[in-house]
Amino acid sequence: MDDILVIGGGPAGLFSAWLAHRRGAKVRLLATGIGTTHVMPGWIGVLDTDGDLSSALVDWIDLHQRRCDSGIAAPHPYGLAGLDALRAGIAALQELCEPAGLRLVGGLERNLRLPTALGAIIPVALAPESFAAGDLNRPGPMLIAGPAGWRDFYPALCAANLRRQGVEAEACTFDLPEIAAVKFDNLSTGLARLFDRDSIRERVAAQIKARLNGATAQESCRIGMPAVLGLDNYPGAWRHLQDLIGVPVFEIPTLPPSVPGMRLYNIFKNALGHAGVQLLLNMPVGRGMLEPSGSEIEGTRSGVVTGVAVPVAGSAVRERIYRAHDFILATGGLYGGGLTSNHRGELREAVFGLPLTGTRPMPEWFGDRFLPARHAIHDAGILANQQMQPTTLDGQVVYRNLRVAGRLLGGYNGPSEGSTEGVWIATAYRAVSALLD
Amino acid sequence: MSNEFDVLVIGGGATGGGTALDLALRGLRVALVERHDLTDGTSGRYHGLLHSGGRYAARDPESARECIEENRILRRIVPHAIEDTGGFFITTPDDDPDFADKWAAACRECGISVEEISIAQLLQEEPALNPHTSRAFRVPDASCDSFDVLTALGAAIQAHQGSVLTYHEVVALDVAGGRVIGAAVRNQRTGETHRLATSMVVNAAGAWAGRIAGMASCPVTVRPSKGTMVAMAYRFVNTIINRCHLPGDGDILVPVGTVAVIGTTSVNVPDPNDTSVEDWEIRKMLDEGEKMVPGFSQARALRAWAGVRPLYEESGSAMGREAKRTFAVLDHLQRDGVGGLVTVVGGKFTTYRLMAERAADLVCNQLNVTAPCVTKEFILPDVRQPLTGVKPHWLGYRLAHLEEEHRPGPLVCECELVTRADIEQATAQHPDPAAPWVLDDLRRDLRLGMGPCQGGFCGYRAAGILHENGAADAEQTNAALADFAQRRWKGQRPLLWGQGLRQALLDEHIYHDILGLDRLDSGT
Repeated sequence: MDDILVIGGGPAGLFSAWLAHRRGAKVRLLATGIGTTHVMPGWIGVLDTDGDLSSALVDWIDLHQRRCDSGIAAPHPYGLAGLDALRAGIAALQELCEPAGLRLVGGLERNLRLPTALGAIIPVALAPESFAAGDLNRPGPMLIAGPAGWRDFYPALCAANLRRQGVEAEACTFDLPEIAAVKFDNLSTGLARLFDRDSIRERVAAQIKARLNGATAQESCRIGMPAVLGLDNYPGAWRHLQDLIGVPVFEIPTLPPSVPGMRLYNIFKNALGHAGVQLLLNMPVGRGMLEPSGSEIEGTRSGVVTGVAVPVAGSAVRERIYRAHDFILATGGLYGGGLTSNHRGELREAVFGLPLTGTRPMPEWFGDRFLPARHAIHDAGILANQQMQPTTLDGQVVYRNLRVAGRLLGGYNGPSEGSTEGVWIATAYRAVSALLD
Repeated sequence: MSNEFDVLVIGGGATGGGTALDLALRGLRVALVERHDLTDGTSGRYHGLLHSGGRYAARDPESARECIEENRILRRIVPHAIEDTGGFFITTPDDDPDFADKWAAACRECGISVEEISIAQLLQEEPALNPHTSRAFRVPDASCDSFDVLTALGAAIQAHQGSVLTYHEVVALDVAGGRVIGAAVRNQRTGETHRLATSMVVNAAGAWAGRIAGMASCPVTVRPSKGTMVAMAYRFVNTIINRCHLPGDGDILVPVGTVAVIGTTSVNVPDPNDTSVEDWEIRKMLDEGEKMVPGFSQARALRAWAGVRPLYEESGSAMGREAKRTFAVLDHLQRDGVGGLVTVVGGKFTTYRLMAERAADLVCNQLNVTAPCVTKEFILPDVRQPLTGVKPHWLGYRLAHLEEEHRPGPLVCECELVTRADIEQATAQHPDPAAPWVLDDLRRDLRLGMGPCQGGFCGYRAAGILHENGAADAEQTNAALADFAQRRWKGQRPLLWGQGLRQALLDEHIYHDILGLDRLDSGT
């Protein structure tokens, strides 16, 4: 029997599994499939603020504690996990990624200000080293470059929008005939595999250098390119390109699939593989095995999870049962599939039917304006205590040996707060600590 | 551009487009004036059903006769926009079983061919239908793409020396000596207003016709009746399905491309601009769909929208479904003592050509033009590159085009197979060179963003291409992208649950978290 069974293959599940393994637990991970690593931009957003990040976080947690105390909001996951869990979680993630070549730079002092593919500027706490030269806290002109005719990156639009915000930016394209060879669907992954090749990088570097030689102030320039600079050969491919051009090169995330997210996924996958932690995809957990039986817990005594059941493909009745001492549920929110919704306006936690906070009548889920994204549905999710155990609305622990981490937690609005990555880091770290301390 | 015309036609829907072409073909110098894009009003917001007339046979035989006659004509003159799906009228357990025979007799009376088929035959052809259906009749309904029809009309008008002024709103009619002699139009892009001189004005503004007639002090009361439709993400049926009963809510299911559209409701609204979709309307469509196709309400719904019918009766007070669906051509000289103005109102998409013919006849009569109407025989041009033996509405049309390399280049919209070359071509062909940065226009031209992802991926790509080609500067591009995303949102917003909700969250993730569109000053 495993010590800990993690359910969910997104960043929160992968991180939890690795953290638990690092603490000496025998771990297994079950997931329906690949998670949101493959759509994430690649940076680590903690809180959308222009000022001092640490004090903004303290203020943010205080504000939410007051709102929670007065009964108008559920506790914020940062408040539950604590800032120490966020700090320690970031350190642990850096410790995992750095030896694998993914150096995460930045911290909780002040947000980096990174350009998006559209030329907007996003404040994030940390980012891969290959994004860092794009930080607009630093002055200096930019040349935004992309392959001519590639459908997922438009250098001229990016540069024009940066200029409109006072950034000195120009644009150029380079020829990459290999793109035209793929007739219709040129995904970022295909480009990243091209950049894994020396010969491609040499050709691209020569074209960009030729463009730079015509420009003034070339020594202080930095080159922004779509985040496709190597997949298997990352960070070597990015660094090699930068050396060839001779000025800093930075990556800008664009439409999914996300190459930076896939790099992170591969690091998790390899680390878990080397550690002997089973990462089982195509294993959609259908239900939990509970004591006392039934998903409704009566009275004050909380139950325990004894195992989870995965339906056997092709059979209507057979299930495979996985048992463990403890369980971490990191199945994601409504996008990831940890929460489900239907046309009657019902929201449900998909595996255990756990109590939800922040649910509202269906017409209030979304606003009439698509943007700015402040839709109330994001606040819906599992209610938990400081040990990351799911609770009922009046604070009773539902299952003693179950913890939750990541997007399926309620009480926060990831998109509008800019806290999506910070929350999975802090809550995964806290869930594992609470289990193993 | 010239500022003098023989006839000014107001309203870029099927009626206005048809009237302008009819007049242009008779040798008159026409201008078609539309405040937004062609089909932005009711024509672009219908379910896509080219009526056989069966729907109206029992209660409104005059409309039914008009429908079957025009149905036959349109199949001949605009074949590239029509998919000959055929139609079924079915008696489900929720329909009065005694209605079918009376209805079939009424159809035959109107000249509509009706063939009763066995339920076994019905289910063999359409296995998704309710197996408890008791009667089934085949009628010559068809599926018709109004965007394609208007594109063809616009091209034909221009080919016959006519002008198509999209994004021009009529703000005043000039009346002198008891006669309309011109109009003041505002260019919606530049904000500039200029005057157009004309011998006659045709008011084909549909649900907005009362407002236009009012500018010449002619009272015309149009009763706007809003109908909501839902596009489901599956083509449940290959044949148009009608419930065999008196017309009601949610009793038509139309296969259109890769989707099936269910419609409609009928709600009297005071404001013709009211295209809001209410929650009860969605529930009603899903419940009614369930009666035709079991499992309907569990399937993914893609998009909801509403159009506003321009119901008109000169003296009657019937509202909604009780009102007749025939049309009227008003001679304001005779009716109100105001010359130079004709209003054509009422009717439906299927009878647009007939409405245009009658309106044009009256105009020609007043202008002493004797040339006869030729639109019954005038084949409308297909502006797209023809592909031998393949009709554009066929699901494989675009794929066949791609695979045979008629349209090279990267896919911008994977859902609807739109390439970069398509976007560049559509931008170049746009009737108003000053107006290419409304991405929604490209949607009407190319179906950009109409598939399952509802613009999540293709919006950024199309915007990037427009900007790269110099069609719009960055500020205009951001605004166009935000406008496109918001328009797509409006149609998804009432349907956000299940898989559709997940898709919307991915779109939000792309626009907000990855691109940061709403962080740009012109991006919301």
